[in-house]
Amino acid sequence: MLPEGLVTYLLAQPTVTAIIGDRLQPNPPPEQVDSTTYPCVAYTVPSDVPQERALDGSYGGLQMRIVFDCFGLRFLDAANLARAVNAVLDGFIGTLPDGTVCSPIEATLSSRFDDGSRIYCWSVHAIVHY
Amino acid sequence: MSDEIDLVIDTRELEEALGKLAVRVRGQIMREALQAGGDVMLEALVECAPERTDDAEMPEELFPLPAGLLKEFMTTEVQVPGDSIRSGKGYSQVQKPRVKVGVQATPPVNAPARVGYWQNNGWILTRHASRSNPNGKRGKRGWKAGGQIRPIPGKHFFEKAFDISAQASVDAFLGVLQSRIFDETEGISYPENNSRDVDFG
Repeated sequence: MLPEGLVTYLLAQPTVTAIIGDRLQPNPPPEQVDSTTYPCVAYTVPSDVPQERALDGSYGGLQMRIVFDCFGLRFLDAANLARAVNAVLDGFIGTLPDGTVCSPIEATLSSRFDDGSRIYCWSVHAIVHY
Repeated sequence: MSDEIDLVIDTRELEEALGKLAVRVRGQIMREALQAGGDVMLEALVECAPERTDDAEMPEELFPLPAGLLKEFMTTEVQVPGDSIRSGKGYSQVQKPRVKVGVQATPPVNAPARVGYWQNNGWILTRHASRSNPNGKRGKRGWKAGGQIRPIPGKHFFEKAFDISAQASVDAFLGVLQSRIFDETEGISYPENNSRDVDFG
C-alpha cells in the first residue's frame, strides 16, 4: 500500500528522523502533549482517485493525496519539520520500499495555528501519481 | 483559504473563438460553461463534506451547526469580466472568468464558512480558564489558561472533492463551452477562417 511505502521511505530519511525519530503515525496525533511525543507527523489520505484521464481517454493511472500534518510545540519546529518532509517528497521519482512505482510527487505546504496555543501545524500535501 | 475551490483553466484557444462573438453572448456562454463545471465540483463537495459538525470538541466560540447544514450551505459562484464583487469594504471588477465552489458566505458571523474551514483544516483544542484551575487566567485561552491542548486533525474534504471531480468538471466545462460556441456561430461565415474549425482536443 502506498501510504505504508511512503511512511517507510520517510523513516529512512535522516533529515526527517533527526527531528521526529520514529514519531510518524496515522491521524490523530498523540493526545499527550510534551517533548517526548512532539514534534511528530500524523498522516491521512483524503482521496485516492481510481482513474486519471488524458485528453484521449483513461490511461489507467491512479492518484492519491496524502496529507502529512507536521506538529510542533514551537512554530519553527513545525515549519522545519514540514520543510524537511516536503524536501524529500517533492519531485521524488522511483520505487518506494513497498514496491509502488511513482511518477514525480507534487508536494505543497500550508500552515495553521490557533491564537494562544503552543502547538503549531504545517501540512504537507503530497499528490502521488502511481 | 481552503474553504473554497477555485477552478482556473487555460482557455486561450477557446477565447479566440469566443472573441468572434458579441460581448454579451460571450459572457453568457462563459457563465454557463463555468456553472456546468462548478456544478460537478459542487456535487462532489456536498458528498465529501461531513454530515455532522457538532463535535463535542468544537471551540465554544463556533456555533454548532445542526447535522447536514454544512452540506446545505455549499454553493457555487460564477464570476465573469464585467461583474462587480465585494472586495474588503468596497467592490472591484472581475478581471478573469472563474467559478468558486465552497461554503456560502453569511455575513457578518459567517458561521457555516468558519465551521467548514475548521473542519477541513483541523484546529488546536484549547480550554477557557476556570475557577477550579488556579494556574489559569480567566478569559484567556490556550496555554495562558493552563487548559489541556491537543491538535484535532483536519478532514481535508475540500481537497478530496477537488481531486475526485477536477477532471469531470473540466470535461463538463469544455463540453458546454464547445456546444454553445457551436450553437452561436452556426450560420455565421467568416472571411478569413471559420471559428467552428477550432480544435477543442
